[in-house]
Amino acid sequence: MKTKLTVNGKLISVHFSPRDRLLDVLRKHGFTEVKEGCRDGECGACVVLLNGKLVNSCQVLAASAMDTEVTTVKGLSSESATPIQEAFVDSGAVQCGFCTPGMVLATYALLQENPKPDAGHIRQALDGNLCRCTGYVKIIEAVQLAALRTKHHG
Amino acid sequence: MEQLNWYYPEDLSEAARLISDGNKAPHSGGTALIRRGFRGIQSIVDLSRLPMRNIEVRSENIEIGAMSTYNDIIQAFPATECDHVLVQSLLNSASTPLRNRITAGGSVAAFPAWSDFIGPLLLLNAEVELIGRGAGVYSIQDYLTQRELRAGSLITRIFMENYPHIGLHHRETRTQVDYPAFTITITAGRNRDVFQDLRIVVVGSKDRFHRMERLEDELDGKPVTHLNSINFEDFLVLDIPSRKHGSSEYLQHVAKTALTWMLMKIAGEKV
Repeated sequence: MKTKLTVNGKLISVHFSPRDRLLDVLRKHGFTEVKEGCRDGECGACVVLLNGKLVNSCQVLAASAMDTEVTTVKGLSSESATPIQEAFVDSGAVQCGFCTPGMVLATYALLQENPKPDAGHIRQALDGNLCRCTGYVKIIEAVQLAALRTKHHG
Repeated sequence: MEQLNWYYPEDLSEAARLISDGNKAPHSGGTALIRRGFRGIQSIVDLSRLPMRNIEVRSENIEIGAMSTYNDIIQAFPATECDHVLVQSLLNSASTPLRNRITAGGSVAAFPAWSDFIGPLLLLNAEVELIGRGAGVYSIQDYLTQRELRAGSLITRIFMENYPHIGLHHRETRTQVDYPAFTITITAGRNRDVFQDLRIVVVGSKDRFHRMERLEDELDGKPVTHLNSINFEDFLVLDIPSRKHGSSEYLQHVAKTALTWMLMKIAGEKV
């Protein structure tokens, strides 16, 4: 199949098989910031924003993503790091880094809907993102810091 | 590898025409299809362009478009109704990114063994509207038990009752990231002295779901203290198959314990 996808604001032409998952199509076309983890919708390493909603790209068939807008972690900012990314660095919430793109996108999706989340909201919003280093305390602190900074950035 | 054709209908009549031959698989969120695999499927009808994502939560009834996602449904309820049995069950059912993808219609049509959605629908006397070969409105029980209704038909909307209730939903899992071995859903009127309009269903039994009508009849209309005087063994006849979570005997014991605990929670401090 051949179609056009809008990824990070740019229209790109993609070729794929009718059974291909969005995860594989994105990685094949250079978007390797979308990580391949469990391929079962459980780890959250592959999450992207599809029309602004956080989804596991391993659970999306590419043929169903025509005419949608896909945002990967690199699409959150074209130049410098976002307040969310800075908060993850400043809080020491990055260990091996494999889960970080998914965590950052999940944080972004949360703060879009709820700019002042409490710890319960944060845990719920990140319930689909697993950290294999088990660094959850720092990650939750990072989301709280990001919420504070995003609020101050307006 | 077999050929796989995708169709993208723009309106319901085109979708009904495509689906009625019974040879094409509908695609809504796609999660069930990916899990199931494509064996035997040569054509897929993508439903994403169809106007089926509206949700109306009214005081007496609820209407859900088949393409509404679990998170769409949760967000359609006002914050004051976060303990609604439907919200409880969907919040626990999957992770946030999956809830953004799993649809109401897809969940009912696929009815996976781990479904958290079916219990509340059964208790709220849901009905499904179909287009295609079996066009019409059917009770959720009929839809789930009559295979002929599913082939060549497409769910467009789901209707159900709404009423003030105490709702509890239990999913038996080994970890939070796990499919449940079974679920138990209970609703009851908000009277804390008397069991009122008590409804109980177990999903995941050998017959897929089991409405516990004998227990409902025994308790309904009685003071909540009646719980102390009944022998649960007489009523809790459950047939849950062995699963990865444990043997049939173990799961039945767990189910009875969970059900007892849930009824005591509904009864409050009086028992």
